[in-house]
Amino acid sequence: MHDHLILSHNLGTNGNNAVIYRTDGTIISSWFTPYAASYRSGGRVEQNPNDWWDAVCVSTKKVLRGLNVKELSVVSFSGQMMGVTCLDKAGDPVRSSLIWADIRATKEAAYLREQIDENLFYNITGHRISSAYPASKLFWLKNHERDAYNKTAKILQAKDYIVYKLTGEIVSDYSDASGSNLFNIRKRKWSRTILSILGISEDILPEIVPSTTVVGTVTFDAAAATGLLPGTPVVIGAGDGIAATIAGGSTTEKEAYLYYGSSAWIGFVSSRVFLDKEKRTFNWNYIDDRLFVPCGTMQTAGIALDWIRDKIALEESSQAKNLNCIPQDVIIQKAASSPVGSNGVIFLPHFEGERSPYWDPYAKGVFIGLTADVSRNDLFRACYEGVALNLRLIWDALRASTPAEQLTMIGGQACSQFNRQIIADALNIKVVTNNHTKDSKNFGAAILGGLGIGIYDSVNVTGKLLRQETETLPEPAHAGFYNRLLPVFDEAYRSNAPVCRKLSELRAVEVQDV
Amino acid sequence: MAKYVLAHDLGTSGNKATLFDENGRLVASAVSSYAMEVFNGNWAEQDPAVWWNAVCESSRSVLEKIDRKELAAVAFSAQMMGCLVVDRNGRPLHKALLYCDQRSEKQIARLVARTGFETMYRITGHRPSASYSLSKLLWIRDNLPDVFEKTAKMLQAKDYMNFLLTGTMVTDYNDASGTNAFDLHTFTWSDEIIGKAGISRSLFPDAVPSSRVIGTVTPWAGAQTGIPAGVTVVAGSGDGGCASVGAGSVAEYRPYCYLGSSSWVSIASKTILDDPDMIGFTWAHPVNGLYQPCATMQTAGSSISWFAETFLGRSDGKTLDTVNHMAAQSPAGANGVTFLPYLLGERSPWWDTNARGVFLGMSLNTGFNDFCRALFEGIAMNLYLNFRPMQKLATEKYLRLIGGGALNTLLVQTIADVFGCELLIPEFLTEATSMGAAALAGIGAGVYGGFDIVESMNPGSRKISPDMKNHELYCKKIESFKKAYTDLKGWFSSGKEY
Repeated sequence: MHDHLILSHNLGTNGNNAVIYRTDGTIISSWFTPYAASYRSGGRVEQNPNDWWDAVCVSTKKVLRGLNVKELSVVSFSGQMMGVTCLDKAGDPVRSSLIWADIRATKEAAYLREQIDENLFYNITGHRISSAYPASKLFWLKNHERDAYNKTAKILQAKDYIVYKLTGEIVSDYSDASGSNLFNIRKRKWSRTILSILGISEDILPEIVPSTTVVGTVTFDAAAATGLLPGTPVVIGAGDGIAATIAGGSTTEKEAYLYYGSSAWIGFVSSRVFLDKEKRTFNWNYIDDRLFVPCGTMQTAGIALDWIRDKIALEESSQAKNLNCIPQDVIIQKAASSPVGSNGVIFLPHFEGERSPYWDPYAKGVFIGLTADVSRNDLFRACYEGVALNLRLIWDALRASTPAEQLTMIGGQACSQFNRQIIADALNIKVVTNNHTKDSKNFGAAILGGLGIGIYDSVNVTGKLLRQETETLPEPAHAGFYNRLLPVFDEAYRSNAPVCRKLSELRAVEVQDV
Repeated sequence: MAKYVLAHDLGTSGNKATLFDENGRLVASAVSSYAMEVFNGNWAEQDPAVWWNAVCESSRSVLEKIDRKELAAVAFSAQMMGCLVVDRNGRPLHKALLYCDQRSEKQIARLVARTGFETMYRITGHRPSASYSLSKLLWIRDNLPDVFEKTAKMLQAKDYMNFLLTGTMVTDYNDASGTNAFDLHTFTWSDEIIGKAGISRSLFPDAVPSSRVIGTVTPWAGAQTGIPAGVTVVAGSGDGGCASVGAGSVAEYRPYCYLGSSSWVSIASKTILDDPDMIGFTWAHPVNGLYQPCATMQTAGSSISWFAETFLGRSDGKTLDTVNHMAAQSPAGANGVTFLPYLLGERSPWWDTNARGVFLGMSLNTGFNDFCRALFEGIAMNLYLNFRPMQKLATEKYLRLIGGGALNTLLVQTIADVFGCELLIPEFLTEATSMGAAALAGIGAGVYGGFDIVESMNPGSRKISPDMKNHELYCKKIESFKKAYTDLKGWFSSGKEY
């Protein structure tokens, strides 16, 4: 294999991460440039697409420092999904982008639900109807900001906008299209049925290409802004959920993975769409026109653990300073001294409502089972167990369509052996990690870039590039315990759901449908 | 002219002797500590000889402060709901089984099967339970037949102390109403219940009003305690009753709240409270002819200290201040966070040993301050559910508040806001039981003219006004609070089996 350098960008919610890889997947350099999101009442979450572009320009220059830019063969992308970025005819943003976390379009989603049978919709798109998706967001703009809507010539995802800025080409890929609630997942075309219900013209939607497509080359203007050479090939890449799938090493339905970062999901590549009877899970299109990625995702996983760290573990944070370690280390040390089952405490991690498995926008965080002999250690352990048990429910839903006997765990939370053991025990499955745990989304994007320019023959090259680093087996006694605990956890959610909803109403906070 | 009264408060951790003068002013006090013997999980006993030693020691200590010739009377406030069996000569046949001893679950279940739960509640004013004396006496009959055969009387702690002081073996209405065997309507032992229990009525001592003089200190007792022989001994009452008196709840419909590790709300009334949900229970009031409806929650102050240790993770001297300060940063309603304070199960209002503590309603915006506020709100709302059946009776517009928890300013304000009424906090917060006993002693012996003496013993020192806007909000939140328990009840009872 002739050595090439691949520049991979991941456009996250908190910032842009740029990584330069060699062909063998080793990292040459990386740079993270943060940007902000504006969170407003009514579930409104927006970002300025110019901030994305500025961040990409900064990180690209930083990551290229000291390298010969001529050796760079390709630029490729992974990005946050399910947003709406509106471009006018001239290709300029009409307004700020509504990002994935924006759930203002509750009424629009409800309208859609009235107009089409939900099972039919699930069957067409592979997804539930929800205000989290572009369909409802776009419909909201049409209903509430007619001027902006009328000015909009195309809507794009985050990565698509940056690719447009680099190349002048306006396209999107299968994976992002499948996260729109507007895409027929099997026909791989925009759904005329849904578009006609919403009265939205197909012209506003971009052309869809495979994720490995070289859509153009870096323009002179873009070269000046980024430090890239004009003419460098640009690959469209994929939504971050799909980029992570590549790093999770899944190439068939036999290989499932768990991404556990701020949010968490379980998915796997499959030749078939998986329609769950209870609609707990959903499906993406994969990087080409053949495969799918059945998936179940929870809203707040690592975020819930961060919340505990920031809001409750104040003592541990100051202890960590004295010990010269990170607060999470102290928290885990304490959590590890609590018994399996956290001495009867159950933690429900639904801080921002919940997607899989409950799809309940009113769901809340809960500590239940507190007694006078419950200790602080028990609270900490319960948090890890709560996220793990919610993932177990997702896994149980997905297991109907995958024979996988192990989970590859990626994302920041996969770095903790304590957490890996809890996942292994709670899901009763072997958990392995590989050498791209922390840079999973960038790694996936890099593979797509390499495929685009022919450095790799097949996405299965990950079989060579990903090497197993750890292996965690379930402890049979613990797994048996969690089997018994699971229905109690599930029932704890169901028992708390009505009052959490009532409390939301009491607060008169506009809680939106997720 | 004799002008001092000696009040004893015989608790489970020690005996406190306190002297008051003729104006009701506290002159001196002394504590003599002892331990509770807990074993077999939920068995709890004390040796009555230990009580007596503590009474002797603390009496001697406190009497050094005055000319003991000026001592007019003695009375006890003491732990209730116990079971001390004595023979014909008044000699203890076994250690006393204490109120928290739960060994007799089977005995009470069998009795309930024969008499009916509601019937027992209606007659005695209390839910039948292994906590009360009758059930414990039946355990002794069933398990220690030799002891039971010799048993002449079953006494409460203070009754036995009174017997040692005077040679007279009686109890008072208030303590009698904590046995599960006393007919609250007639102020006599219930033939129906005692009959169904299959034991003899003669096992129960005569019950008299709490302020009745029952005798004088014998020369033997005088030598032991240092109390001059011949000093008047008044019946006294249980500590729950004495607390009511000390809190100033001595006239009809005067409500108060005790805020300690546990907490109760109570009122004085001429009738037994109509409480169809059986949330609360009713004692005979130490003021003769009155009743004392009451409802108790298990973990009030102890929820706060548990929270400080568990959630705050610190237990230095400042933790409670910290919790208080942080709670004040969160708005009323705690941003939707709700706390169910059932860390030891719950008595009133749910009577559910399976209940557990819960924090619910957290979102990413929830801060630690909201937990602190929710903690106080949960305690206050639970107390209010307990108070609601009594509220319609209350003629006073304010609630008296005693116990160490009354020092917690934000908790107190939260209670005022949740209850929507003014709170009156007296000067002494933790002396109420001793003051109750002193009032009974002084009234019985004629040193004090009547129960009004409590106003000078423990005058109101602070008034807390409710924020009625917050009250409106809490009126809604309390419905969610109730719903939370009702919805989770099933989970509590099934959720432990895994």
